[in-house]
Amino acid sequence: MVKSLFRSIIPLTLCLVLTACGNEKLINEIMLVQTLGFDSIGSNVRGSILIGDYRKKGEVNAALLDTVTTSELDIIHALNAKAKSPLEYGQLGIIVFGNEYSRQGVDAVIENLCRDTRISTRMQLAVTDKSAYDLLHAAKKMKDAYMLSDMIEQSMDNGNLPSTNLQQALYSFYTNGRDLYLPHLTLERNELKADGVALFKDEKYVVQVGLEQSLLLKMLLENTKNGSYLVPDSIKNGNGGLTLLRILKSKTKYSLTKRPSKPLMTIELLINAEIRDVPNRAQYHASDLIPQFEHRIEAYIANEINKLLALCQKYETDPLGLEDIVIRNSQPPMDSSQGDISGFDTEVKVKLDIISQ
Amino acid sequence: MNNEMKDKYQLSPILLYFLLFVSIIDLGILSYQKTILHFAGYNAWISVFITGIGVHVIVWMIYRILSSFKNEAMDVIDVNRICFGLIIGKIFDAMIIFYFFYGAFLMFRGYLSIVQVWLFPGMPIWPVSLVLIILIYYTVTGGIRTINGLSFWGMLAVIACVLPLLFMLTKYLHPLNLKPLLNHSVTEIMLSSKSMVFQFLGVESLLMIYPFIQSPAKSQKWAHFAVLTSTALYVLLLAITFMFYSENELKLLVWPTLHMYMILHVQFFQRLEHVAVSILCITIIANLSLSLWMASRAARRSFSIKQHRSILVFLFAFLLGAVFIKDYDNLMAFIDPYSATGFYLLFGYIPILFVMMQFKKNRNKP
Repeated sequence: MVKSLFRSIIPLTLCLVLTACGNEKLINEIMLVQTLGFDSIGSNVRGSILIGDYRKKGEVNAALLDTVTTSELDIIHALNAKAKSPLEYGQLGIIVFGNEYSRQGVDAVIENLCRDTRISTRMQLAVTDKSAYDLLHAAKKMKDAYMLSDMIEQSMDNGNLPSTNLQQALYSFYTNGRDLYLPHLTLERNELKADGVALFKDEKYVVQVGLEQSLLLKMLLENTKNGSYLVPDSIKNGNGGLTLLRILKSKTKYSLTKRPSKPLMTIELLINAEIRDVPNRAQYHASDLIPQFEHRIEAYIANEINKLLALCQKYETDPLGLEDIVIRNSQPPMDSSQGDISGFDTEVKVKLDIISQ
Repeated sequence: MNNEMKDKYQLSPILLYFLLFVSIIDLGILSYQKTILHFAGYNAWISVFITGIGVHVIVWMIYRILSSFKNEAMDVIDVNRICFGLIIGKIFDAMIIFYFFYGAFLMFRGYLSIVQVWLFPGMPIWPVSLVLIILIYYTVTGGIRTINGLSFWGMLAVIACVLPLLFMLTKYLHPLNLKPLLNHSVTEIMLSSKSMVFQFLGVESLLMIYPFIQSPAKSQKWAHFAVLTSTALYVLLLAITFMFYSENELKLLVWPTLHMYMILHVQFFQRLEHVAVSILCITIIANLSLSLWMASRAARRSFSIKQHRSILVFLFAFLLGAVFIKDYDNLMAFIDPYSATGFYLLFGYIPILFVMMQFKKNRNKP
């Protein structure tokens, strides 16, 4: 009896002892890096970090540190020399790339992130047209070290930004026939703003698209449930007015048709949208003004998507992964390096369903 | 062949399922995707099927070998004696003892590496080794039935670790990744199957457990069922991994399964991978204990060394080896010879025993 009791106590005690093997880290004795920025300064890299400051109960603050080193890899190490407590980046919420830096290539950082076991892959990445330091400085004024990542996530959930995070960025970066796209941030009268999407060719940032085009991109990339789109048309005045479409639901289908010359990629986009402030609703419902409006908008959106695809083609970037679809559907199987955006034609079909309130 | 077991040491046939499942599915579940990708790329799921079928055949052969003489339940030590005689038989016994010990050691050090990389970087290796070693000693000295009890929980732990990945990642999956269905040659797929054999190592524990099963003939279906469910688990998880990662990214990762956890979060846990690594500890201890139990049992049967003495020697070697091997990359060099030996054990040694036993059996017939 005593022996069996003793035997069962040993493992339990050992389990308790085991918890003491790790080094204890208390929240007010370490500094949590929550936002990280990279800028290019000549051939050097400037790293800046925003640290959540939790020392006083109920008070949240943010501290900004920056340093210039020769490589991205020793930024945290170099910054540690400036911090009074050890820096921990396991709670990193976002990495911002400055304009200059992202145009030179973000591969060094991405390749490091890919194997990092400390950070979460739900983390965000973003590009800015200013320097990352300026953005972090603006976020510091808001006293919120998670300001930038929260803002981007809010825009993805409720606004026009296509949803992405580190996992999706890594997927786009490493897939042949697919290119990276990241949210684009800017400063508007010293206030932070997510103003579109930055498109990459391989590891280099090439072009930015605005919020309207971001929504098109979002609808083409995922089943959207949110977003607003301004069209230069109205039910009443035709091409003279402006209407704000509120996207309720969208769905995209890609299909590839084999043809003797080039294959044809058909992109079918189904949109359910609502418009507010419809005057004289009964009158419009009786007439065929709404179907006519829908047709005009369908043509307009299809045209805008074609413009977006042309822009992508011009910069040889493929955020939608159209090449990927072509490579995977080719028979006999195509070598992944053979994919080429000019190797197929695209056709865009839009079906709009207006639900008026 | 004085090998009759008392009832109280024996296992009912269904319990064999847990033992085999846990000895097949171990740490490999965290990293096998990367290994088999090397030859067959995203066609590797076919290789898992092929290996699964091969292992079914091996299980069938093991049952045929061990039940050659109807009235006696044998283990591999008896079979070595029958096939190779006393001296050569003992050499084979020694090799088998070393094989089980070495496999257990690799698992032990592999798990410690994962704890070091994912949970506590910078932690000295010896305290945690020591604690695990005492736990293992406690389990192994409890005997096969204690190990079996832990295996049941080990199986539940594996399921608890894998299930969230099957259901919670749907948003991030790209089903198109599974296409084209066939773009690798038969040779590449077979090479990939060969490397997958490493993940199925553990079925050979049947060679030692067999006499401990109450009615061995009835247990065969459970052995096959364990292989079947492990194959299904491997294929499912592989399909999810392939849809989750692009091929180029997957090549860079060491533990793809844990990396998949990095995207999940629930209300109370921000980092589920830490939970997964901790829960898997149960499976690893069950697996290690079984291997060590088999090694010590073989040592006792063949060289009459008392079981608890050999276990102490093995565990001491564990502690030394764990400190000696610096990191995971260092460990990889030790894994290759084990993997090769395991392959030839399953697909060389066992078929040879099978053929020899068929001859012996026919000769013994009146």
